[in-house]
Amino acid sequence: MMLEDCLVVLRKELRRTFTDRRTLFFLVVLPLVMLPVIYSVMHGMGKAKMDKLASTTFTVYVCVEKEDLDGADPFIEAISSLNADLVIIDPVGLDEAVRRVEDGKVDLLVVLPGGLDRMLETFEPFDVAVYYNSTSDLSMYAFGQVTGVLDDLSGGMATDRLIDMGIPAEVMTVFTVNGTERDYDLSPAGGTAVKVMAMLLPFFVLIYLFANSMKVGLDIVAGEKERGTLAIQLVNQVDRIAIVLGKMGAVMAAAVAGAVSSVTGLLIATRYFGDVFGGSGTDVSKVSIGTVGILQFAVVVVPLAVMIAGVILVISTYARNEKEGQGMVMPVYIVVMIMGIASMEVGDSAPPWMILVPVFNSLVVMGNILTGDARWSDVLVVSFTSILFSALSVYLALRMFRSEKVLFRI
Amino acid sequence: MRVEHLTKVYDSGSRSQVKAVDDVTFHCEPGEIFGLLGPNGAGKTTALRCISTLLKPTSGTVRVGEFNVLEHEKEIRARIGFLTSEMKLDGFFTPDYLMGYFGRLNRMSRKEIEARKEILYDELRMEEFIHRKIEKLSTGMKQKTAIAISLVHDPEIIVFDEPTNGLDVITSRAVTDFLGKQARQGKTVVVSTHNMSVAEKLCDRFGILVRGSIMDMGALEEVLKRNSADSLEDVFFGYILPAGEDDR
Repeated sequence: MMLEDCLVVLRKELRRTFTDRRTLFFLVVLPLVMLPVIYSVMHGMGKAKMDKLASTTFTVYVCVEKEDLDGADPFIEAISSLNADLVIIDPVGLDEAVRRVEDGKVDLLVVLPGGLDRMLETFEPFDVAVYYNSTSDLSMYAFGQVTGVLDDLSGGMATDRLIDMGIPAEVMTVFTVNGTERDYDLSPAGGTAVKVMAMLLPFFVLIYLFANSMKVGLDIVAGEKERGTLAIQLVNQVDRIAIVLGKMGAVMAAAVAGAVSSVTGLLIATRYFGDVFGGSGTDVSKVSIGTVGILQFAVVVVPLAVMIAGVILVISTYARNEKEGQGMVMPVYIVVMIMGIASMEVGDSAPPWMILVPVFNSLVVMGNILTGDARWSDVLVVSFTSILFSALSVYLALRMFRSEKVLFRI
Repeated sequence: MRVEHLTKVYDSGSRSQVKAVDDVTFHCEPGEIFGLLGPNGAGKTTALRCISTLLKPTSGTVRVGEFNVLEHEKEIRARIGFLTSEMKLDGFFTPDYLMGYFGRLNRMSRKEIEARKEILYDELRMEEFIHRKIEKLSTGMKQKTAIAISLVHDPEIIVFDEPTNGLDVITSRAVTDFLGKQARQGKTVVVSTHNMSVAEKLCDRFGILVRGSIMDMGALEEVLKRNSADSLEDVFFGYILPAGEDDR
């Protein structure tokens, strides 16, 4: 009878949650499309920015003494090969040139040292100063381009010197490290992409478990209290535990739907626009956790969803209305987010006792499942911790549902 | 239904207590409509919530037949149809769906629910809007829906808190007519109101509740005679305003 009652409540709440187009959009569609849209926009903007910088002519001042102009020729030639307006200045105007870089009027200032010709002839090492302005994208781009060609020039000059001395250039190369095109990364399939996913994916799962629980959970009790419809549900034959469990089931379903949706969105986003966060889009396609991994993931995520749904339900039951509930949930949300960030930072190096810290432990183990490093013992400990806290939150919610002081708080 | 020395004290923390209902006693027989008449904050809602088992009395009790609220919550709930004054039904659902939902919460079979729907839809003239979403309904239609779902299980006792609050005269009349019909069918009806004309026209007897206590109780003629007043409004203001303040 209890199960039947529970299903009556659950069916009504699921109908409310999953057949309302607006709610469904926020719970399922938005998490699915949000990341691909954000990533594609970031990808498009990044590419457009790089294309624009590459097609923009930047201004470079080269400061050299008149008597060193001959020696400066290769430098000027190398910089001229770039899409740059080059102005040669005398050291007398150096201070003014520095100010112009500071003001963003000039993108780059290359200062060749005095006595350049002599140092080149006597093989005396010298330093070329390249001043840039990190607040300007064009200046940063110019800096990268110019230092690149100067590095090449330095290598070329060294080789020329050896050849002039009748020494083969190869003498400079004693050995190379990973000099062939072979793939030296022996990490499991996916490599860097898997590591990035192992960090991001649990965090996104957590965000949507919480966000969807909040959206549904606050309305389902605090909202009903506010509308006065909770009272009429309590004046009937159904035990309050059936109402609590039915409502909790709906919150959990919304949370899991959001998590599945956001994970799918993340996979789509990283598959096609993975370069946005430094990985390769195609690498992500290699992310595969296998049947055991999926099972382990479910064993961790489902109790986590129940626990979060339970916590939200407790807050929702205590709050007088939805607005008050939102205010009460916020500090919990912040703590959970901090745990999420901490799990990304600390990861495996966390002290062993932290395996007992709910939420944090789930995130770490989810990451381990994705990298193929999860042990069943850890998975089960994490699951047990979440179940323990879930049971505690259900017990609390039930106590509160039976307390008129809470339900009809003035 | 007998309310006996009902007292409800709210403990609002830090040693402060509010006595919302103070030693209230009244009874209501089948076929009778009893009104709790009082200003806002008089304790009407608290008293009705105690009757409907939502709140536990601090002392005293409410008896329905052989059952009392302290020991037989479920039995009393099966016999009571309760409507709160502040209820705003979820706009997403239709009246027809909510009738089914509340019917199932009351452990009714599909057949019983369907039969009850037919009766209530007809009595409350709901047919034209039962499949429309509640958000699209007028205030009157919403109130009729709220009344229907609170009575889906055909309770013996009807407990309505301010059932005509915020309604236009036509819907208000429809609601009072409906309650009158329920009483004639043998139901026990308890309503709270601060509307004098509703109390005068609808209630067979009423109690005037001020600051948690019943100040006077009886049929209209009895109360008027006892207070040497021409109208219920005069009696009412006589109780809620201290002497000398009634200079309207």
